[in-house]
Amino acid sequence: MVTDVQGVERLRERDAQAFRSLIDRLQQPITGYLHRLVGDREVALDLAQDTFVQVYKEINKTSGEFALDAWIYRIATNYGLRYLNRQRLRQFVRLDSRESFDESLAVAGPEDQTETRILIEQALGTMRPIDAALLQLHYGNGFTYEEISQVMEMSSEAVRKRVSRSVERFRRVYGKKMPSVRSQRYENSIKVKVTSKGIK
Amino acid sequence: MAGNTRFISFNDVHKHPDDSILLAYHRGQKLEFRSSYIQHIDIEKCPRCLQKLNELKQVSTTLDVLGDMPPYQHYPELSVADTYARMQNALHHRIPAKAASNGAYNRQRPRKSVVRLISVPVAFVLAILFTVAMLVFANLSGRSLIPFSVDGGTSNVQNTLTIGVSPHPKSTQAATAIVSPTGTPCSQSRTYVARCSQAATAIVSPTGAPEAKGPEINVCSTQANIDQLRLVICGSNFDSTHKANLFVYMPGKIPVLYRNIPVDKLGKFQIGWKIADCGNVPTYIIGYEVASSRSIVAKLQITSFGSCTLPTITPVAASSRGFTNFW
Repeated sequence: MVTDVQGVERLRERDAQAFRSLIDRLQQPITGYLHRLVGDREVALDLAQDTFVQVYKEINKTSGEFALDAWIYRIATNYGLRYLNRQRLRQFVRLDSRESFDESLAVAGPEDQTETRILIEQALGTMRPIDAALLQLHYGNGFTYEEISQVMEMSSEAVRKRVSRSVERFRRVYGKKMPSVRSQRYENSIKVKVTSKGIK
Repeated sequence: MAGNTRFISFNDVHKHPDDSILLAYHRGQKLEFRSSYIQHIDIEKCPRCLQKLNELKQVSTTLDVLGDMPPYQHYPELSVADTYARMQNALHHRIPAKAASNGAYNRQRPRKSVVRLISVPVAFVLAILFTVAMLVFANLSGRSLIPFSVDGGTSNVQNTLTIGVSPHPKSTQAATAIVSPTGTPCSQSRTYVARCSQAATAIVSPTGAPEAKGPEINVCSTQANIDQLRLVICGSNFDSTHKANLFVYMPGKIPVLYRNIPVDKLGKFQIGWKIADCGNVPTYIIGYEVASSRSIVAKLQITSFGSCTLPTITPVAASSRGFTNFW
């Protein structure tokens, strides 16, 4: 992530054009990230807008050079996690579980991939929000560990360990989510590849 | 996924990289001592690490689907003007950002909590203020439990009568009732004089206007009673379901309590006793209702009876129903 010193200074000066450029540049990726994280398109749009409003309110409280994009993603992540935690609390109170899936996530694509996407989202939905956020940032947004460490305010080593743990949790949950045949195929594919391809 | 286990390979001791390092290695992330891991995995071809690496590749391939979304998914553009307006509203007016928006993104958000934690302390403060307000209101509008203030004055909500019974037995104006709501000697402007041919009675409200509702006690001695030095006290507007007590104070003597005086269905009672001399004329009489939640319901101050002139007393602080501590 690039540290845009001039851009940050203009934002601190409440330059309207700078804010418009910021929204134009980051609206789609931020909304997409939040959509994947919370699993609700409408909520994601609201959260994205809240994120930019928060940026506008808080930009003057920042000082010096800092990674603007990482900071904005941090705000978006906090909004997303707050939403997910509230949802979890509601589900706990209602004693039901979240199995619903936002159909808008299953967009056009190969049928197999759509099914996979649904299963992935369901698996992420059962994980801890912070773990799901880490996986979304890394796999969904393509952030490096270094960038995630800026977003999450962790060390790179901590990010590495947490991503690894999250992947392991996902693997376990995803294995349970998959149909038994599919799961078996999935497990076999690992074995086959190990044995047939051997050591690369 | 066991990590950090040791094994012997190629006559050398190597440490397996843990899963997080393997994953970072696979994902091309920056790693400390990366070359040593390459040495261990790719050159030494650690089978265990490669198997684990393959598993991680499979999971990563699955998760990479997450990154395929952008080409398929497009979100409506946020209205820059609307968002910017919300920004400024939220900044300058400190109003909820949602309320500031009235555009296309003015959606009902399911994440809004119905009960906000911030409302708990506010509700607590409001409850305290409400309670205090109710106490103040009750104190101002209702009867005070303490009949007299600590500085010797009387409460102005009590019906206090100051009665002087005329010393002229032959007059048709047998008795004159001078009423003061404060218990002090009556002034010209606040004097109510009742004239009657038979008895000295007065029912007066604290404001000076005749009132029929509040419990009253007064002297109802007839001329014949006065001639015989017989004091008769009448009560009216008492609660007929309770009996009455009269606390009678005579200067320089032990107060007398007349207990359980029957009250008729009309809320009236009458009690009389003979006074041998002027020293036995009470200067102050207080009426109570037995077993009632109210404490003092009526007070009567007598300044003269027949030819007897009585000293004016000034009551001091008293506790509720505390007869012995009253004076």
